[in-house]
Amino acid sequence: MNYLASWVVLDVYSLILLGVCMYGSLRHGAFASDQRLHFSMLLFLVVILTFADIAQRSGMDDSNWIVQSGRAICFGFDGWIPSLWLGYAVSKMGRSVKDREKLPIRLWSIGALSYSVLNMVISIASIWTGWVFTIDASGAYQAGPLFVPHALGVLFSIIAIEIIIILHRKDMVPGSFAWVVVLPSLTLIGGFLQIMLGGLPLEITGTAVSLQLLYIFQVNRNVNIDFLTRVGNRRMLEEAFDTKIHTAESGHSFSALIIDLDSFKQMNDTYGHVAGDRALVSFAHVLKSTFRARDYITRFGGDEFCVICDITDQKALDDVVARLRANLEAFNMSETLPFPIGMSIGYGIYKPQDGEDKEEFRARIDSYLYREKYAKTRG
Amino acid sequence: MLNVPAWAAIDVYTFIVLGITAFALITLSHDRDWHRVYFLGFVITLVVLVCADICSFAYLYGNITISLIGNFVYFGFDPIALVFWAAYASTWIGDQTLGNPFPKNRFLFIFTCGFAILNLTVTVIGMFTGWLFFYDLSGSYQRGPLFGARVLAILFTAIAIEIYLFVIRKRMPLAAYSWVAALAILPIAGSMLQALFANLTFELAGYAIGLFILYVRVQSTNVSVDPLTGVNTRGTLGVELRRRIKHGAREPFSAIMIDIDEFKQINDLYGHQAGDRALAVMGNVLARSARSGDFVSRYGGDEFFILSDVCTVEMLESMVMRIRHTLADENEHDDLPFEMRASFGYVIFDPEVDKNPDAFIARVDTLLYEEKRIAKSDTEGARR
Repeated sequence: MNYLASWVVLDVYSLILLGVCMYGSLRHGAFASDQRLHFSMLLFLVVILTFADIAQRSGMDDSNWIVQSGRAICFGFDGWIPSLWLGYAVSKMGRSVKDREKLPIRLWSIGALSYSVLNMVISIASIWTGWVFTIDASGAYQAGPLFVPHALGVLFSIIAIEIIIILHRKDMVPGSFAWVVVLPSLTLIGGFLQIMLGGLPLEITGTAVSLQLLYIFQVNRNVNIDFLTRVGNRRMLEEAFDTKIHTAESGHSFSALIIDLDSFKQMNDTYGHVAGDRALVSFAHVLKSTFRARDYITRFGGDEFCVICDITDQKALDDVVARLRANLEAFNMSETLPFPIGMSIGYGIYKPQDGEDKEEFRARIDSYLYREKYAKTRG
Repeated sequence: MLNVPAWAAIDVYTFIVLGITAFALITLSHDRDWHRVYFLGFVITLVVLVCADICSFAYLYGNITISLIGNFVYFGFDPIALVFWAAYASTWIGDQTLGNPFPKNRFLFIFTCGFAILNLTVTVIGMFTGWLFFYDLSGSYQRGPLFGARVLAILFTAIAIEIYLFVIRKRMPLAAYSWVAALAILPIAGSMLQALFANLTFELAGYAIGLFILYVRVQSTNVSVDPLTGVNTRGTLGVELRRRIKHGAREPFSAIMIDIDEFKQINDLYGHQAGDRALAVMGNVLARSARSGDFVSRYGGDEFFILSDVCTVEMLESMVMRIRHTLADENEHDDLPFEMRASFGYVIFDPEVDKNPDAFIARVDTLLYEEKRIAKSDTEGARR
């Protein structure tokens, strides 16, 4: 019977799994462009690492250039994994670019990138300087003086990324924290296992598995997301309501705003469906820049949006509404669209102490919305 | 340092890939239809088989009992994967709305169940006669005389299923057929590799990858059914329309676009809940009035679309009449505080004129708009 080495099994299996993820992400309509970027970069990186790993274990002469390159790439590129995971985590923080430019996040990003670049330079240079690995007199591979620091460097940098993610958990888009924190840990676990189980390519395996999970996470998020505007859809709204009402029982209430675009059907008829779609997308952006990452912004009808946020003070709520009106006004003044967008808002704070339930609350805000709409039509 | 043998590497990896797919189906998938049930059954069966396979290697460490149990489960229940494959495939045959509760087409299911029972019987007897496997004097696992015959039997069964699916493929959505049929390729390739590398369970690995691919494909077609109305979503309409246009010269078809009259007023006067109910009622009426080969979907806020094989104006108009009657019936018997009325635009696909989906939809849209305009001026005329 033929013999197959375990490392071959692992690497080939990883390549096939990565291939399926790659196919999945390329399918038209599967991912939005913002999701595709990080996923693609990680995928690309791990595929290269896997090929490099196969090259370095291929059993050819250790001083062969293929083996040496494979080795250099394996050591040099796995330092990019922590940076890419950090980049992914940052993309899940905050709704606007402004948020992401907050100082600590910039520092972490610069730190992570510096580590990755340093690790890459040192590893590739090892071909000539022998820092991380070397070829001894008999032509065999030997670990260099910086081998252990390299290994520790990867592991500790991922731990550092995890700590950063945990510190910023409140800044993350709802529902993403658990995933963002678990995924890099699989590379970490793989790395530890690799050390303990005789150097099998388990770090790569762990990362490939985490990409399978990431793929599933992104695809399933699409179920809760409105494809056109990228905000939540009706499903997300229902889940958000149920979650918030549940936490309201322990004292943290919330507010909801229902927003209806004025004369949307007429706009569609006059300017066409394409312009109508653009109006919806632009309005969604206005909402995103008004509210925080943790708030639930959803589109649940043709031209109807609903936002759920943690505000429990009437004055604060009024301020947010004023800010939203101001932001929309500013957008209209920029004349990005050939017509101004108008909106009517019904909003209120959920008051379980008044004996309200979910339906009554929604009916109440609905009634505020209609009040504003009719006030407008009347005059 | 632990030395990990190749069989462990492949089985553990298979277990992880399957586990993640199962996790996704159980916790993340919100669809509650029969596609999902059989898919999940398929994945869980394979997880059990992988565990059994891992157990079957216990003889290498001196424990023959566990090894025996593992092998028994693996040999005995391996064809159950085929049963679930057949059941899953059957949910895509025929009428599509939310998948058949229990497939009307049960031939595949019965056939594979029969084979599974036969295989189990042979396995049980083989435990005593050593037909499929046994342990020799030194406690090593050995293949029995009927081992090869069994592998061939499974192979032929899989091929028979493939042939059957190929023959009835027109009764399945094209996309579903291609992927369900392709699903067998990887496990079959895996089984053949297994002949070369004795202890390595490539068959299960093939299944794991195949099921993950199927999951990817199914999920990226995504919410193909609108949960509120039970008809197809607009995204699926695009796929279906492109497909029909491609074959439009050989297979004529027509479209009906339906718009709920004064939907916005319903929403404003009676609230969003009432508006939702109106949509659900409309979806129901259309699904009931349409024929079994027709494709019913939502198009926009209050618009619906039907694609049908009907190719004469007379038949198309009688279809519209039928919908109007069902709607009138609905108005009489339901408890909605308002009357539901709809406007229709309908047209037969003309390959000379309708070059692409957008052009075709625009043509139907114009007809719908015309009817609404006429209806409006009629009512205004009547009021005067």
